[in-house]
Amino acid sequence: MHIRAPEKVMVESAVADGALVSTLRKNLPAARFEIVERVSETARADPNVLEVVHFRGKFLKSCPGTRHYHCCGYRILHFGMQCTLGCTYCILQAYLNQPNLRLFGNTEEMLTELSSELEQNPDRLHRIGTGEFTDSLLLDPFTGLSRVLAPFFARTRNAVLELKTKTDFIGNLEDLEHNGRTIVAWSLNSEYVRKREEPRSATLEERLRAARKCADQGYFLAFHFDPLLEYPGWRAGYADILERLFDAVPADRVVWMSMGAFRFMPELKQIIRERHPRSLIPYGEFIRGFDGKMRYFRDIRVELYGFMAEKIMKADPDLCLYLCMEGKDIWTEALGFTPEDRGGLPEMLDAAVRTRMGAWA
Amino acid sequence: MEPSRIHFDKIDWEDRSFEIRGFHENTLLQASLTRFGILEPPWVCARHEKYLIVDGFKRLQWARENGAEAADLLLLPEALSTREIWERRIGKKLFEHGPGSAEKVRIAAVLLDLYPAGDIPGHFLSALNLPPRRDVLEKWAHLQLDGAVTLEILGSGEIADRAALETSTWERESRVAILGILRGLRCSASIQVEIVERIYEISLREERPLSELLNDPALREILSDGKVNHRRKTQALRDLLTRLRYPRLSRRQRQCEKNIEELALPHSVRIIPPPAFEGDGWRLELSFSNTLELRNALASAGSLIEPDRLGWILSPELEEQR
Repeated sequence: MHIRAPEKVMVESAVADGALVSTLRKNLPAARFEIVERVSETARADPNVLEVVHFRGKFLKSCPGTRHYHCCGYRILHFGMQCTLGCTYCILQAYLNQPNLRLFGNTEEMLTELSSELEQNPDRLHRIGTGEFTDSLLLDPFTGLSRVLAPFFARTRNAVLELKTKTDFIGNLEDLEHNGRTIVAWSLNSEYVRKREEPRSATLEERLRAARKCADQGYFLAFHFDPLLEYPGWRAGYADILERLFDAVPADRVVWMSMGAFRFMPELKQIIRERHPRSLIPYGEFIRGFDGKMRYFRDIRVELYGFMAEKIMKADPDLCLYLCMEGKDIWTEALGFTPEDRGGLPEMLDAAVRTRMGAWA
Repeated sequence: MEPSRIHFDKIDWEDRSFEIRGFHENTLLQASLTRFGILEPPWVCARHEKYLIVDGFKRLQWARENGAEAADLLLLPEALSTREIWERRIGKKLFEHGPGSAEKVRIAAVLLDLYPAGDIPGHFLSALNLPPRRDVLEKWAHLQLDGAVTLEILGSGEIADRAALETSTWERESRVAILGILRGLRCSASIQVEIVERIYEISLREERPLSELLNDPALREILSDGKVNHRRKTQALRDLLTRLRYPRLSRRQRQCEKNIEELALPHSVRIIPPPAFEGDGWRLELSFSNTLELRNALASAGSLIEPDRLGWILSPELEEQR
């Protein structure tokens, strides 16, 4: 997979002398750096522009769970916004006033906040990821952020880092002192969905090859089938990727796998219609869920999850497989148990960290 | 500008390039003309030794038909370019009274012709109730290509703007067909939009051409049923489209209704599934007006759990095994 380097980097003066900008200058020698007081909001996306701003909010956020659906209790390390992979279903398209790739240049403050959070709650296992508001590794060839984060987590006693990506940009992970505290995770889908809905992301082959390479380097892995989509032939498509996945990577390096059927804020439908007129994904049998998002009618979700779960459990019965944002009725029907049966979803994932990674034992 | 007396011989009656037709009968204007004659001078501009009508086509036509040979007309300055004339013409149309849908189509087409992308004056767009986006304007203008058939339907005022706009990407035959259907159903704007969206989405989901869908025998049967009024026809059409758009959910709903019916519960006891079966919050509703009725309702409700008569209603898996 190839990413075009940004031609212009807009940097807020407050972070112009920071380590991140310094790395960017080194890795983007052809880019024009423009220092501004404040990067202004814009409605027009420019794929050639990278913004580096001084972030004034909280870097650590909680995964947005709701009362009705089980949440994994994952914490998000918010280091940037937006993505240029252009997946048709992506919620980031709805952030209309911040359409450009954006990084938070005050990395030092981010790490300070992170350290403080881990110290304040020393008895808790912190599962922290970076792939919520952007792809974790999309800009890594330029930012080298993984070379900061993985060693940071290697030194922690009570935290693991999950890097979620649809790229194969794992070059910076090589030869890192990660101490088995970093999980490299891929979002996967069927070949059909990859081609139609994620055309600019790495091919499935590239992702699986990268995963294998990471496993060889001692990293733990995770895979997320999110969004699962219902389309004619979905069974064959998903069976194929599962088979390829378990052929490609050693199952015992996989800490967890998750599944989430496609769900979206209602306003995304119009955006998908306009930006991706060929995409048929908004025309499934969606109903409005308790969280206000559109989601497949429950029988469809149960069918998707049940099909996948059967195959995954056959490949590795001990694997921690979970559903993203689903209620106990769906868990029971699709997986045969509820998170409560196993102490709760966050506890299930903590247990997976202990048993698979041997961390925080 | 003072009006000038202009003889009708000097007017080029064939040229209607500045016309913005509403495609509807303006009875108020007719009544006013009959009673008071022309109160406000129509506009003309000089072109090639003739005068072109810019504004007031109906008024001048009325005057001519009523035997007048000349009228006091406002002659626009010769120095005005075509664009400047249009700006005045559109401005007058928009700010005097809101344009009808057919007029909106014409104005959209003219604005696209007159201005390059991004330069269309915002005050025109806001008066047209349109966002500052060329693609939306293009959708409106596109409806003009159908010619009088579509414009007459739009001019009737019975088609909601959004419904019309939703059809702008359809092929002509299907658009004319659906607009005709909507006109016949006389339903609200939101229901019109719902019908158009459903048909479009079913067509995409099932990869069926719109024209085929609009000629679906079940749909045609509903529309040609002479025994029911437009309200019931609309409801029947909505039900059909819901079944086609949400086939699995509809099947489950029908099955659930059937299963509940088979329980033969008294009218005082109702089982209500969660909306769209989302979640596990089923409800039981008891109605009563005295303690005896309550006792009976409770007895009926209690019988549902011993033996488990509800299991296969709550769980579709059990239902399949049945």
